[in-house]
Amino acid sequence: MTVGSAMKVENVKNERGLEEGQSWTINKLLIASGIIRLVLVLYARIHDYIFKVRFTDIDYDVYSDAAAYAYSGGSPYDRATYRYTPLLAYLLIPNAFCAEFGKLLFCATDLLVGALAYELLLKRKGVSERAALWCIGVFWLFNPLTAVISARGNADVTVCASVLLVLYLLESGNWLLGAVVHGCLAIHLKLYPVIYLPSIFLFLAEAPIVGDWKEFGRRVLLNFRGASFAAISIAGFAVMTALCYYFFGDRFLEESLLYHVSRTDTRHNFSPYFYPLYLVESDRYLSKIIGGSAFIPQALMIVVFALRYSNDLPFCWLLTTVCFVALNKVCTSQYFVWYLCLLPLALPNVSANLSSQKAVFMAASWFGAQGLWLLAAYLLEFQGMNTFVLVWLCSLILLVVNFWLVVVFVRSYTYLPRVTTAKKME
Amino acid sequence: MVRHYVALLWLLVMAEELVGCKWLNDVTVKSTIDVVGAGMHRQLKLTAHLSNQRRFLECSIAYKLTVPRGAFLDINGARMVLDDGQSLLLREGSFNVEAPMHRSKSVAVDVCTWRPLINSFVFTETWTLPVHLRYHRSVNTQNQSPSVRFDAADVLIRCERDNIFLEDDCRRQMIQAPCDCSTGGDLCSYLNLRSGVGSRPSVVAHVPVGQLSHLLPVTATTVVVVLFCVAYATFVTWFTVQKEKTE
Repeated sequence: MTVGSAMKVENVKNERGLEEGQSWTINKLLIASGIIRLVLVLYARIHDYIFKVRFTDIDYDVYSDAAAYAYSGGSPYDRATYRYTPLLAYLLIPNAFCAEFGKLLFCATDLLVGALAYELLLKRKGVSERAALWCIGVFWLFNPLTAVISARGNADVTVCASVLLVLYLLESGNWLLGAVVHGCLAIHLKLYPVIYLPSIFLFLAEAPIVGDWKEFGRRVLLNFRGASFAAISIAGFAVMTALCYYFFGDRFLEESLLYHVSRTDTRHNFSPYFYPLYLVESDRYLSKIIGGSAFIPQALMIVVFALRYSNDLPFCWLLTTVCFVALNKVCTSQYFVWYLCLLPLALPNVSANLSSQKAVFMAASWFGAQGLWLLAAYLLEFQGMNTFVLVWLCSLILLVVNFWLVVVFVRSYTYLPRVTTAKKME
Repeated sequence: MVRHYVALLWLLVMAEELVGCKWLNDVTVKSTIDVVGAGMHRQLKLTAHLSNQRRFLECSIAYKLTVPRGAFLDINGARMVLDDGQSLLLREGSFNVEAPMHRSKSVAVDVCTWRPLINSFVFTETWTLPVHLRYHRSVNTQNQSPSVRFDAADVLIRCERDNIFLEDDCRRQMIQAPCDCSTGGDLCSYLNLRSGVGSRPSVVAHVPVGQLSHLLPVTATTVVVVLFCVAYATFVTWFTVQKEKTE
């Protein structure tokens, strides 16, 4: 039995269910998952009071402190290690009156991501409402990982929302607004959505994916919309940067931009490069070579997936982000949410060719590889055992598992045309 | 010859400085430090035990702790674990919580306590602070094991209603420290009490580090695995025929 057939069976049930008025709707899903998140936010208060290891994300304290500085007329960058857009600090000023405001905001953004993903799924030909609800429910709204991340006060879901908004606008044909959102919001919030530019460029070129290279070249060269998108997006990002620089000066540039570009964190993390970079830390030349070379595989994967899957942006972005995160010089678990928000959108593409057993095995492998790494890291960090080599080996295992998942997805992939495209063709 | 007289005079002045404060003659102090736990996140357990043959008359206690460059305090976390009657203040600058040992510096912190010392002979206080060890540079051989040394805190005392304490001989030895650890608060004059017999002045925590001998095999293996993953994914992506849903 495949995941796809399971979804089909659910579809039949759904059609019957809808008639009888017993089925779940997106609104019910959003309310239920919203209540779960609210409970988690309340639980965080109790947990933080009782236990030494806090439920609340350490970054949430950073945002809150930065918001307090902003509220008192100072700069958010007066808070050490605040490395985000100043907008986030100003957005969280109400934290001064209600400490949970930010968490509630992030949880609400979680629900927005769910709603956007639902709308995007319904744009796929052959994806029923029931199947869309199933994907969104299981892999986003009721996914304990995503619920906990936002309830702990991690802001990464805001960039997920902006990425999905760009996707929604692009698939709705509103590429101009999409470019503005991409530059002014998505890239401004986090730099990484810039990796989607090549695929967006090719998507707007409507170039053939396989075969006719001549036609491909012609469309790419005459791609006015793609070039405009890139120009508007980069200009939007530049305007936001200039505005923030005007108000916050060099500290903004150093903390929000340059730090992320030049960051070489040699403390243990999921990246396969962490141990080599740590060992060569005292050798600037070698450090630069390894750090610089690490961008090459990332760039290659971005181009390969853009060339191959630009006609299906959700699937393309999922693969691109998984590989980008897996090959990054620094990789922590909060980065996983960058692609988890795209997973429900790509699931209908692969579900027909994946057996339930294989899907479970894939999920178990992903969690298992992380579990192994966490065990090795625990021994190093909390027991003081010298497990550097073990942590590094586990990082390599996680990398291999991530790429294996990508390969399985590629092999199981079925192109589902967008409803709008199909209508256009008709 | 003149030089010798000057040196002698200086020694006499210094001796007067050290033993001149009669109040100190009646006081013994024992300041200890211990590092509890394992790994990169430890607890610093500090104890101060003071006794006075003549009673402490309305005295206040503060501590000056120097956190070595190989470690840092999470100031917010530390403030949360201190008792209600204690507060903490950084002397200068701040902790760079991300820097490895060789790119950081030691930082002095003051811990103030509001536990009163009114007409008592003895005073004992224990407090703990969460401390985090920094990453250290990798080493050449397995036998090398870097460590971080924590010194016991200096115990500072001020007794503003004790006439003997306030004599000039004592005043000359006083140092300035925050009155109540509030940011931008006033400075008060304290006597720095030297640790007495039996104190444990410092403690060492060992830090796990990488080995430079791993550099070549680790880098080579990483490159091979990354290249294999990228090549395999590229090959499969490029040569897998796309299916299209036709129904």
